[in-house]
Amino acid sequence: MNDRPKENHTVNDADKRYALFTQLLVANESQVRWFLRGLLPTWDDVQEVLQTASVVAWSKFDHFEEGTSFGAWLLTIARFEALKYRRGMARSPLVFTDEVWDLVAEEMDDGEYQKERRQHLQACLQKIEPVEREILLKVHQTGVVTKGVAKELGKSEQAFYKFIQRLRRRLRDCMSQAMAMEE
Amino acid sequence: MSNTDCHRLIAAWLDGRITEEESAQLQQLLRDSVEVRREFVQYASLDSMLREQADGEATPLLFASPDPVRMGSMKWAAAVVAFVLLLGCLVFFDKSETRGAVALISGASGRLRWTGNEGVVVHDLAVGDEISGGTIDGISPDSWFELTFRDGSVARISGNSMLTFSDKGQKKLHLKSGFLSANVQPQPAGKPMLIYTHSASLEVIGTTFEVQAGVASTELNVSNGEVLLTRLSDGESVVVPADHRAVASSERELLKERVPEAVYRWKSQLELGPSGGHRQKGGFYGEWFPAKGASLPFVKAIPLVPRKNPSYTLYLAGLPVSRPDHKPVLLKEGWRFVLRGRLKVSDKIYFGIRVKQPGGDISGKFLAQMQAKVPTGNFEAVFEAEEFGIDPSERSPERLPKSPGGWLLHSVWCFTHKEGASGLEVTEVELLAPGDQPGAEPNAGSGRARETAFVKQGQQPALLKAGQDPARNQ
Repeated sequence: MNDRPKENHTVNDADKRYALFTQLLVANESQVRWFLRGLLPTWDDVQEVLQTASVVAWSKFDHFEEGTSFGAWLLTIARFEALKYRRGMARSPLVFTDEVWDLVAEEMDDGEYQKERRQHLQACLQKIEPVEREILLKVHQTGVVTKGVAKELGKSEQAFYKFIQRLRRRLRDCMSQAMAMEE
Repeated sequence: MSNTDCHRLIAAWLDGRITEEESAQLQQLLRDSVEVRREFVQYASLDSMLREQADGEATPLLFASPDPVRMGSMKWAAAVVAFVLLLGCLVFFDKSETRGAVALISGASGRLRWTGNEGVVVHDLAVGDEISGGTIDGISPDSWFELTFRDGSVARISGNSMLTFSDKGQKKLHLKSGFLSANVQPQPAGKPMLIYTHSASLEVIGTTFEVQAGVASTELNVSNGEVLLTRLSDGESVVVPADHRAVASSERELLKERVPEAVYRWKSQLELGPSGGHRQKGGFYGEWFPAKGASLPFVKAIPLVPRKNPSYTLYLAGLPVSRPDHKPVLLKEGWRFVLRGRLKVSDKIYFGIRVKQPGGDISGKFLAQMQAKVPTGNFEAVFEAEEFGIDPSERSPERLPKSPGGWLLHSVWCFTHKEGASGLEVTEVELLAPGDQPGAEPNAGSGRARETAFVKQGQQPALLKAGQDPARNQ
């Protein structure tokens, strides 16, 4: 009859536990995406690994100690899942060697710094011309092919990529400056 | 190498257009320079932030209902501002391409919770909503959810089930627990629908099937077409054709076997556990207590607050319907249910069933209720076939027949809904075929013993029929 308490508690506690889990997941999943983006070649890969990591985290949620850092715990799971995912990927110029992967992972593993940068994103986006801003966001939408956007705008592919690269650089510089001024 | 070259290489990697030679250059830079690594990290995280922002604006559910419960107010405000900006500038883009929705909700009932890929939690799912990938969670035994993908493939979960899904050119479903049925349209070459459970993976080209996922096993029933079932523990696979079933579990051989003929009788076996000894737990709701001395095992009803009627608290107990011989249970015309149990406070009892069309992919709920309150103490209530109607919570009742006769039984539940707890406890549920006497069901060898135990308590149960005044039965 050892399984009785498990059965009894599963139904009642599942709601509370799931609510807590989703609350923590919502609060931390962006940080995991930022971390994964530097390790995985595409946004689809990031979403895929985050989804798998979320399912794994939920299945192991009993082992998570409330009060400790859920973000760090989830990052550990995500890093492991990303490693597994990477092993299953075909050889490609987009897949880094083990050595580079580890070096980048170490550098990416600073969620607080990224959170601070994120706070400046909106202000910096507002400093870009509205039309340019919308185009920049458009090419970052899931499922949107950059080449297709270039074609619709009547721009050559190469020129359009350079244009997007310049916008990103302006944003990156703006956010870095804002961070420096805070310090 | 100049800074510009470095940025160009990083951008090429992030855009997925880096060549092998450029990749070697970039990796060399990343190996050699911490500064380049920092640059790379800044651009990668910026890319992630922009994608989150861009996708957040394109998620249709965010704009369908600006309910603060659904997302943080800051996030909502940012999304609205950005959405308005986007609207003016992006009219020339194909909207269907930008939204990222992968499927349409074509049916839903009971308590459900959807967590989108962006972390948005939605409770009041509506038929017709388009949703992107995410996790759907059925949180009561009467929960039911139907998802129609863009190619017409349909997936349903019912009961306490949890399904994560995505479709980025290939449908991927993770059934963490519970029951899934699906009717899958032919899938693109080389991109079968993939379904993962804890213990198995399934590859589906185009077919109709049902999957029940437990912690350690996965049960598959195929109605049409065929499904490749792979046991994850050792990689063993079996192709399961139409009218066959297979169970992926480390405790038994992975073999396909013909689906047995349906039977017309069933009796719960609570002495074997909350789900009658069946490994799967889908459809169970309540608190299970084992036999103790002369006392029978029972399931105690526990509170359930319907989202649509939060002023009510139902006290509900639910049981999955399964037999040790795996035979499907069919409702033969003239069927009836006998519910045995106890009440601490006199109340009306409602009895519900979930049924599924044989060989089809439609399922639905039917409900019967006692017309008068059942007195306190032990009771035995009979619910005849003609007393069942389509459950009022069904959102697509037009798809269901007036009576579920001829359909397969999936789960049963009963509840009371007075203000306080009624103390409803269920000791047994029995489905009888026409002409059967209660206790005749052969699959429960201990039926007579249980009757004896019942009498031993010195309390003859009141025999009630739905629609009868219980006072006249005493």
